[in-house]
Amino acid sequence: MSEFFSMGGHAYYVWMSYGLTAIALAVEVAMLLARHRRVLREARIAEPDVSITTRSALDPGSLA
Amino acid sequence: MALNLFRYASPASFYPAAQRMARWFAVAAAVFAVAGLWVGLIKAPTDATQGDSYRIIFIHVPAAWMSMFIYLVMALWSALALGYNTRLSSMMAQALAPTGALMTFVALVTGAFWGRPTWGTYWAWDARMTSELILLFLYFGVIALRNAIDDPRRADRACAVLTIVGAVNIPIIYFSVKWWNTLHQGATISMTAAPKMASIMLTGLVLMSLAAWAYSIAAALARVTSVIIERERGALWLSQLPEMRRSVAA
Repeated sequence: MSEFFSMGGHAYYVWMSYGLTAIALAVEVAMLLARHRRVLREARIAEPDVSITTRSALDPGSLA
Repeated sequence: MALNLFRYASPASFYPAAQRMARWFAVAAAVFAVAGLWVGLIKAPTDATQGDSYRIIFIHVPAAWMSMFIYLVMALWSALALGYNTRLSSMMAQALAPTGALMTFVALVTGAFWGRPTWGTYWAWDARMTSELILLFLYFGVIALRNAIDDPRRADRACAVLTIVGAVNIPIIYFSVKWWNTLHQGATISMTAAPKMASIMLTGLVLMSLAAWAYSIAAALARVTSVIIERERGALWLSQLPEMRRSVAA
């Protein structure tokens, strides 16, 4: 197992490559999910008045 | 009856399709990545000349391929946007740029970490590396240009022109190792000759490339759904989406 992690002495280069790639991909996925949540929230606020009335009638407590 | 592809040129009909496809491609990316990492890091033997540092190839090459290919696809969507004035084409181009920039960044970073043990340097101003760095700046430029223009339709046209002009850099990257005497090696795998690498290593590379393809498609489709919501805000079809009514159910 330790042989696997040492990568024949090239551990630093190999794991930096794989690690930084993993971090970069994780950041993109997190940004994608956050953006989707944000645009949905903004679109709900910007929705036509008629549906806001309908929603507040169904759920008087929240408009968000 | 033939499948009417033009139906999907409308954001309203493309949105649910994109959402479904994004999920499937994300699953495919995960499956290919697990298989590719298993082959690349565990099954493939140590390289006789490079030792284990060669295992960086399994990320570096797929990322570099995607960085160029995504740009070409972005240029194609941009050309369609200019030619047909279709909003969705511009939205696809817009959705591809950040993922293309990410792939370029990964190719450059993994290249640096591979170059150090192999060539003795993290960076050299050779033609391949410099043109790939220019590609990163082109992606940044397209993203910045879009953010700088308030009117989305004007931004579409400006970004399309910049993208298409920048596409001249792609053949320069691809052929740089032939045209100039570069520190970067020439192609190991080409369309015209048998690959010059062991088949188990090639298997790992193919699996990781499929993972990179599937990931890029999933990310671009996921992003385009957000772009559609941003740009179609106030449209009736959008207000009727189930996710728009989530607050009622909660």
